[in-house]
Amino acid sequence: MSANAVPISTARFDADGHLIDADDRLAALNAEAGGAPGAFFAVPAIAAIVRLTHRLGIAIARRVTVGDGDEDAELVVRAEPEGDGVRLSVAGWRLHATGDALVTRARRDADFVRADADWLWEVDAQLRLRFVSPVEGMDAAALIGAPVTRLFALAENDAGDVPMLEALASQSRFEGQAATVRPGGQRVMLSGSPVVDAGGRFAGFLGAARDDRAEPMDARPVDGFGDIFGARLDKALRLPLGRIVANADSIAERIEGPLAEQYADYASDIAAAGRHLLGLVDDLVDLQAIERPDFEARREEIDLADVAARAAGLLSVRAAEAKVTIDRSGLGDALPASGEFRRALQVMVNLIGNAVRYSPEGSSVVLTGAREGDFVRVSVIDSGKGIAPEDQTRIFEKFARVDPSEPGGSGLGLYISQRLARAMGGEISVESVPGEGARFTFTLPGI
Amino acid sequence: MSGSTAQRTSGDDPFANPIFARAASASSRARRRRAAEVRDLLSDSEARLDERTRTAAGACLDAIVGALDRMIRARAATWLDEHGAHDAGGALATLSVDMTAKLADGGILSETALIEEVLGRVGEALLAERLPIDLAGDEGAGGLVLRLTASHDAKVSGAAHAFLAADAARRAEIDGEPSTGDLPSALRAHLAWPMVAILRAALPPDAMSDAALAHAAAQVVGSIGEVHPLEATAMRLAKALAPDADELSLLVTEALGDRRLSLATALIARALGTDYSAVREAMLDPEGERLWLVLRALDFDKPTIARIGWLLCEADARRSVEGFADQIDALMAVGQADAAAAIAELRLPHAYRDAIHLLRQRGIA
Repeated sequence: MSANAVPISTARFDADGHLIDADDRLAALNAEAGGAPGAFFAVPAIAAIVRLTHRLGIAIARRVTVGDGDEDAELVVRAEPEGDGVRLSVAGWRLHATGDALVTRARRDADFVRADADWLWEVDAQLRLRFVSPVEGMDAAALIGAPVTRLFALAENDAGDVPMLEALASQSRFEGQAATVRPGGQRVMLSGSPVVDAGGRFAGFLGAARDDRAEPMDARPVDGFGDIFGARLDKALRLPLGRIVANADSIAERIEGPLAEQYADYASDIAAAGRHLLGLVDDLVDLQAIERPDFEARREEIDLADVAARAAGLLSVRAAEAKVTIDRSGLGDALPASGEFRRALQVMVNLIGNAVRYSPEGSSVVLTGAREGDFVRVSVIDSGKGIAPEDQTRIFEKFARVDPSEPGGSGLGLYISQRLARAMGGEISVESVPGEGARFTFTLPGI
Repeated sequence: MSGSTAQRTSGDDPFANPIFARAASASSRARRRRAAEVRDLLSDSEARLDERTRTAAGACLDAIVGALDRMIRARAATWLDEHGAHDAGGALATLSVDMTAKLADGGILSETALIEEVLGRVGEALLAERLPIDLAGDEGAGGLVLRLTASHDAKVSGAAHAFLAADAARRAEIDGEPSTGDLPSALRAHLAWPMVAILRAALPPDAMSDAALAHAAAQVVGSIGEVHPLEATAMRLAKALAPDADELSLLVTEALGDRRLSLATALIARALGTDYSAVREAMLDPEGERLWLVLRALDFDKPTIARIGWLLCEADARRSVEGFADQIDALMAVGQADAAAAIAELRLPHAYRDAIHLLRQRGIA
């Protein structure tokens, strides 16, 4: 439903930003928040809009989420100068379960739409094309500005409805709109989510088109992560996760203003969890890459001792937090080897990271290096609880965990590391006595 | 070459052993890595890219390199076909080269002008994406640029169509879709020649392939007019509109309300008589002062500057709208002539500004 269809509440403020009068709904909201006529509005986000309108001397609109009883209400607040004071009009009053505000939902919808797309399109409120992603064999650019029906011939569904037009009437999300692309006759399935402007007005749809001849996403073989699935997964997860991490970091760093300590801490937790998930996405993308039949690691001259020392350096903060020291004195001199620097570093970070994770407080992770015949090796030795003999093969399997009771981790790290080591002509091996720790050894061909 | 020859050669010339070449290249790679690590360690956290910008900039750079790679190969393959060298054309088409990685290894991607261009594009696209849509006064009309496509002035409607197409192509590029490779020709040259050198190194030595690659690179570098960069189409639309002072401020705010940041940038650049990138830099700077002075130099009134400041602050979490409101009265007290004098450097040619900046950085001027 459009925000415009909901009755609008109004209030007036004097030149100092004090409330002169308000209609019942706004007066009630103000009173619930502890405010009264003659004072500033008691909902800080609304008071801020009144103050800004006065200072900037222009009409402004913002969407504001306020607690209204047990639920959140999302308001479209518009303020404009009136004489010396400010006139406020509030529309919306959409109620959602707490935490599920309109803006968040619109953004999330848009991310889902993106994730499911072979290509994207966007239309304004009159269904004229604002954007079409480039598609082979079609002059998408020439269609910009044209009615969407010039691009798609929309079909009715079994119930005789045209989902896009139904959604236009209700200004809501739609999916399952069968259509034919006019230039070329390709059959596609369309979905879209509404775009709303700062004043809460419907401003069009952000939409996706999926090739209707292609198998649906979940019917594609998942084993080995088909390229398309991998690319989509990467795109669908990385952008929203990046946004979560960036926003949580901004909150934790109090960029927008002062914030109670525990909220800043929550935000740090959110950012940390987001980074963890980004790490998982990286693992899955790596997995997809290494399971491709033509996967090859580059062979360049690297110094495995230097790689191990850098990996230890990268993990020094994590080790300090876990009160574990990383002893690199056994790495010795340079260990020239053939391998890909980035991949070798990834392997070492994984091995040392595991060792730090499983080491008891106050203990050391010891790195030793040596040349043995045609190979060079670096061993990572921890004094954790060790790995039972029957598990020593299993831990290199896909989705296996060194200790399933431990939280975190994708169970892909050692599997990926072993595959990478082998792609570089090397190997990872493990020796362990339960209760006395473990020694993981990474070997590469020496030079 | 037999093993004994190799040994004898290395005995004659201690630097002929391939290990030295590998060590030399490994050492230059290590130096580059170290320099990047040092930069990362020392950069203050405000200057660090946020994750979204980093991801989008990586995707954009990849897309541009991919587009140029395809253009070069297609032209070289056509040339080889025309000259009867079908096998060499086939070899070129099936060659698998991680072009972005090779260019990065060769230090080619570290060119400041290239990175500035990519970050400028990405910053602009992400800021535009976050601008609040403001249909105020335009409800039902679908935004400024769509309206301009229906203009009776054929120059305006044509330029508006071209702008919309370029805007769509740019958005797709930032989203990681295939790019049109629309770089300024200096940057295209910066990339195209190393790219053919990389392709050459991966092919068997062959004079025909060399000639084809040289032909392809020259064509790609010189293919101005084939693709229309968003910046150029925006400037063309601004020129076609040729607004007077009153229309200008209205058009700039409408363009921002329509989330067409590049059109707003072009309108300001044209009015100021400078290049697009100078205004884009001021537009993207979260500190904002330069842009506010630019707007004062154009004699924009308080409601217009307030509207522009408000929209940019809403779109960019690093900017403080309260801080902007604190400044606005002091800004309005600056006279137009003083503002124009303060931003005079911005009106100089791009290369001139770069040279002044460089000398200043080195403490020479």
